[in-house]
Amino acid sequence: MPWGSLPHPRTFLISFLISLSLFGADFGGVLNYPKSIVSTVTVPVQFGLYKTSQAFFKQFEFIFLARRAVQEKTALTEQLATVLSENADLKRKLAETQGFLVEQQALDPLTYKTVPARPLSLTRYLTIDRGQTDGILINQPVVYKDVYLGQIRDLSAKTARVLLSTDPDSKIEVFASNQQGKARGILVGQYGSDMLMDKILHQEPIAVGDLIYSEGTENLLPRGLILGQVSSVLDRQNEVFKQAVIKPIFDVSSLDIVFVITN
Amino acid sequence: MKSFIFILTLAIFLQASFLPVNLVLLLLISRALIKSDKANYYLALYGGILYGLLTSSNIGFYSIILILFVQIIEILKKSRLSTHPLTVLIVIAIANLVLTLIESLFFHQQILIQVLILTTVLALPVYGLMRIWEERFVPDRAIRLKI
Repeated sequence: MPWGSLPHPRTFLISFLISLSLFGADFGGVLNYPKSIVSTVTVPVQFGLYKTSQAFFKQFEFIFLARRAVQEKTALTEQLATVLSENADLKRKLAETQGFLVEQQALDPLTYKTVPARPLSLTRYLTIDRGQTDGILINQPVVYKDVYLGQIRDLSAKTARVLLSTDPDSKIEVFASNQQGKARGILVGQYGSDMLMDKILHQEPIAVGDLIYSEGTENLLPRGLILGQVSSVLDRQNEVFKQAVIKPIFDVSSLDIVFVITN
Repeated sequence: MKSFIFILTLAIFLQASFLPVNLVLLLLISRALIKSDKANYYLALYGGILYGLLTSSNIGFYSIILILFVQIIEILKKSRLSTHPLTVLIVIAIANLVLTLIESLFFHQQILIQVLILTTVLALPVYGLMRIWEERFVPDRAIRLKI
């Protein structure tokens, strides 16, 4: 492009040369003194502007801080929920492991083959998270330690329902043992949390505090499992048999794990 | 003109004190795009010198760059697309990028992409306001009342 066709060539040249000479002069340190004089005037003004801007933006800082606080709270709530969930999971696993260890101490693993199961719900029946695919069969006993809780009533592939010993449909041949001897009877579930040991002969000894054991005559139910403890004896001479009220050893609703004796 | 010098001075002080946006560049390029005037060169010279003084950098450095930008824009204005808003946006974005690159090369300043974007985003409002100001409130010397 020819020089003459440039817009405002003279003005451009003058201003450019002035700039260039200032650049050179400043580069050579010639303008240091005038610059320092100007700075004494401009720096306080700049400082004032800077402080004003800081004060101005600080007025609105709380908006961003509040927003950040809300975001952090949300994040922390999520983290807390995760930690609580993990904690609950670990506690459950610990309870399972402890239960498994206790189970192995109570029931000889060489004699009894057990499958651990987790209770899913408790209404009339106890539902557990093991089913046909885990090798569970109907009528298999469900225990915790060496205490009988119930037996498998019905099955699906992944779950099973347990008929508890406190259920009115449950009838088990049992015996109570103490230093005076043995008392045999039939343990029948009651509506509620207790059981009733019936058909006890008057001459057979039974007292409050005696433990009740399974006789082992039912299909798949081994002998010697504990079913409860005698809480009171109903000895009426005008009746043929005497009875005893039996309290269960464990509250089923508080158990984290139970075991199904499969063999 | 006096108003523009005042606004430019204020913008230089603000930019040199705390504002991260390159207001000087925005104002000078917008004016150069709106109005073809010899004063643009002197304004670029003044703006460059004052900005150099306030930022304690070389006094002539910014003047040279700004004068060159003004000259390039004066040449570009011969194109029919020079007043198109997109052209304004592109010109300011390129000028800002070039200035930032030169600054990083000479003064080893960090290139902040967000500042580049912010300056480019502000280009259209600044250009629009200046255009309104120049067209509506600044009297043109060519217009004379015939009495």
